[in-house]
Amino acid sequence: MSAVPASRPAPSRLAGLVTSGVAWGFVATALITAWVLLGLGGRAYYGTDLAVRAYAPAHRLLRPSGPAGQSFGLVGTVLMVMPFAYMARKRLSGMKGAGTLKHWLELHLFCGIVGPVLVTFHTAFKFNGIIAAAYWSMVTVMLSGFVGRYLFVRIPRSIRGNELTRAELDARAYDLHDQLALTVDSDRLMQEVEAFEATVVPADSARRSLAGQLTGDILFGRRLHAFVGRLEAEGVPPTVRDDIARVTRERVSLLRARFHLERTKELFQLWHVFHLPLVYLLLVIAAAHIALALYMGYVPFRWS
Amino acid sequence: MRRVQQILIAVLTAWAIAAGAGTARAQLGSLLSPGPLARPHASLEGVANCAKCHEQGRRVTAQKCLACHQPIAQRIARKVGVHKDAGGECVLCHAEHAGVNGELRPFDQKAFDHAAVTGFALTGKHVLGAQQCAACHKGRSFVDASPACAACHTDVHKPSLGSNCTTCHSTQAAFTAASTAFDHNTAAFRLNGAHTKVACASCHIGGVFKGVKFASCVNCHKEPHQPSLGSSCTTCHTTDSWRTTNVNHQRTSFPLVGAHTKVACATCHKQSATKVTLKSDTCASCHADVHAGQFKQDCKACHNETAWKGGRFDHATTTFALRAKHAPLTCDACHRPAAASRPERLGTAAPVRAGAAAPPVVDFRGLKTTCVSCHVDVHQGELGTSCETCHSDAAFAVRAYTHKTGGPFFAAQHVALTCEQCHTSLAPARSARTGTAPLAVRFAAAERGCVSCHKDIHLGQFTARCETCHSVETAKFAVTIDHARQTSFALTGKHGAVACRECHKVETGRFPAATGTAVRLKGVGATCVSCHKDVHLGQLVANCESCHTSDTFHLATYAHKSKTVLALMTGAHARASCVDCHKATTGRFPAGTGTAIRFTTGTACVSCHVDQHRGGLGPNCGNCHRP
Repeated sequence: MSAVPASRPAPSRLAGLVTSGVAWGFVATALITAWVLLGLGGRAYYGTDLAVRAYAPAHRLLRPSGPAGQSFGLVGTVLMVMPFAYMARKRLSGMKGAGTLKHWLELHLFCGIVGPVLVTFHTAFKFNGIIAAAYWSMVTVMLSGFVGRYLFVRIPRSIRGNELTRAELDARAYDLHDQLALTVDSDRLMQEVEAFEATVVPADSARRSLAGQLTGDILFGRRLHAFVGRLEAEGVPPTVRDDIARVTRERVSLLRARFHLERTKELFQLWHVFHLPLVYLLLVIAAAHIALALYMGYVPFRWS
Repeated sequence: MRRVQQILIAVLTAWAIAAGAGTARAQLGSLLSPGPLARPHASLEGVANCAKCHEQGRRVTAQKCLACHQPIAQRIARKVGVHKDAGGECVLCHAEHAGVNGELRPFDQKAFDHAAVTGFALTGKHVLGAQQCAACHKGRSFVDASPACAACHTDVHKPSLGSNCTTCHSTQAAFTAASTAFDHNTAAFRLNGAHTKVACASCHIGGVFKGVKFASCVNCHKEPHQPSLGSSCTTCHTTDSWRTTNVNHQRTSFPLVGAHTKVACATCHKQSATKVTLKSDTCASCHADVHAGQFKQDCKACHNETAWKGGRFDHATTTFALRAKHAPLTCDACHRPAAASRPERLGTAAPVRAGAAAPPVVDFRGLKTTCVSCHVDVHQGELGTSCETCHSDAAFAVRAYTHKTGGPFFAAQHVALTCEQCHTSLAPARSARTGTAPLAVRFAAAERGCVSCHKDIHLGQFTARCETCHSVETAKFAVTIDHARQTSFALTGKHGAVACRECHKVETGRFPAATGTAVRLKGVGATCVSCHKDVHLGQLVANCESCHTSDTFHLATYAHKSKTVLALMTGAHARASCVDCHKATTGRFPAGTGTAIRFTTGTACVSCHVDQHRGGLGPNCGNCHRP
């Protein structure tokens, strides 16, 4: 059994957050937003009517061609390019030794969140012309990234990020069941856990649907919490309850992923088709935008 | 799956191309533009026009802007106006691509110094314009505005007064209040008095300011006098007011003399003299008839124009000529406001002034010639109505009167008496009319009895007539009484020289008429002790006359009547004086303890002599001694 690779890290939620690109992305977003709105006077500036905003005190700083505005654009553009490194790591054999795929993915997610935020401040909330198409493409890509991540995490992988085979998946599920049985050490309690699993893991014969998958995923956390509450009412010790919750969470996620695995993989592949072209469109228009700006004389670090 | 991917890529590509091409068809410029141009620059929209403002590698240069905005370029060159200090790129101040309604000219109206920047200070009424630029700057360009008044204001004078509006108008006052600025003294017709307060349009009708005639007052003012008093209004009027006190009343039908010269015009001319002509033939035109129609003749018969009061009236023309004391009396001394009981006869007078109470009507016709018409009959009818019997109009007081009857009564001591000493007031109430105390005395029925005037100081001790003792002939009614004839006690001896008061003492006590203090005249006893003191303290019970007489109290000799005593009056005893035996002794006497000459002396020898033998030879001294 020890040959069965562990699935995606689930045990410690805090540890997961520390290495989560999404979490860091949101933190960075909050900090940047606060800094711009409160520190640089963006709150008043962006709230000023567009017709007279050019004469607001913060205009020279926050305008798209200003010191801050242009810097937002530059850094944002760099961050929007950074996700391609993840693609390179995945596809270029020469980069196989350069860190784990997981870390590259987290970096990808971080840049994919913070980049659009900076670009948004670069626009100064003024969306005109074809560059607006690039902007909204960027927003669409970012949002689709969240969808992609949703699908991604529902394809069980090894610690190294490789997809688990169905056999490996089953083996891991049994492992977890054994682990659970050792933890519970009570037939009655084990029966309760299994009964709970049966309510959140569809039977193999059940109909597979995207709506059912989404609903089940959304409700699972709440149902697990309620189940743990019942265990507490029954007098199950806290350490046992925590172990049951941790193992059950991983096992149920594994079983639910297993149940929807085929559809998830199909959707994930389809997602790539949607995610990538918009990125290309965005990059093309952004390149044109930058080229035009440079052509007109709006070169970096010349803000007068 | 691969097929699905291909389909999706195809769809997205088609979307991108369609979207791009579609918008490109609409306007390629808008795809590249960072935002629509402001409305004034709308004609520059479109990709073909980008280069009109933007320059490759140089962004938007001032040269490009000023190439179109020539007037601004000129003002920058001349360093005037808002752009006099302008330097650098225009886009530093003017922002574009902020939308159709984008503001191209950021402008802080509150901080804008119109005077410093434009040379045209916004003062007075123009201050409001500082917040309403469009009130003067009608066009989009601010530099089009001219400082000339006519650039904003309509010349209502239709160039008749030239273009220099500030001669009359200032920004401190509204246009219609130009009079506050225009110095009319610079005009041919200087304003003074009430003319300074007249609105311009009152004279300058229809906005005509030049050629207005002013030589005569009637050029502007209507002639109110009918018929006209001539064109020289200033004879009576001044420019201060039409109401004038300067009218030469001598020119009228009623020349003012006397007190009339001091009367304010409005006192008589309640309405303008130009509207109402007063009837000056009768005084009643102006004066209220305070006599309520008592006199039909004109007031001048009694009054003159010097003063209402003090008019000369010849009272001799009436049935009562005023002579002596009556002559200097003022009219109202006799002719007083009619009694309240008689208003129906005289009616009521008209008020002297509007709103004032009607004055009381003075009765000039109600008085009679009898004295009591004016004077109070202080005798209350007792002496009849013929006052002249005693009084005259030279002096009302009666200085002297000789009683027709009474004869001797009014002689002697009564001659010097004044009337009032006998005819005293009986009713001291004051007259409500004159305020003086009436002489309410009785004359006709005055008593002649002494007590009607004199007080009975004897408090009723005598019932006989006073004349029994008193007489008007003696001063202060001194008594002339014959004590021997008229009383039971003849004043003999030394009694004739004794003053009455020695015997008739003043007493306080009960008297027949009353309890009081009076001289006791009746009831004085006839015995000696009634007046004299018994110095013998009751030792002698016999009448005083037994030893004393009224001529003197002292006894020259006394012959003892007692046989026992007479027997002793021999020898030396016959030569002894009374006091040798009757010595003054202090001790008890029948009338009390005191000092008196003891008369009740014993007949024993030792009563007077000292027993040298100290009783050794017994009491019978006669055995050895002889008087």
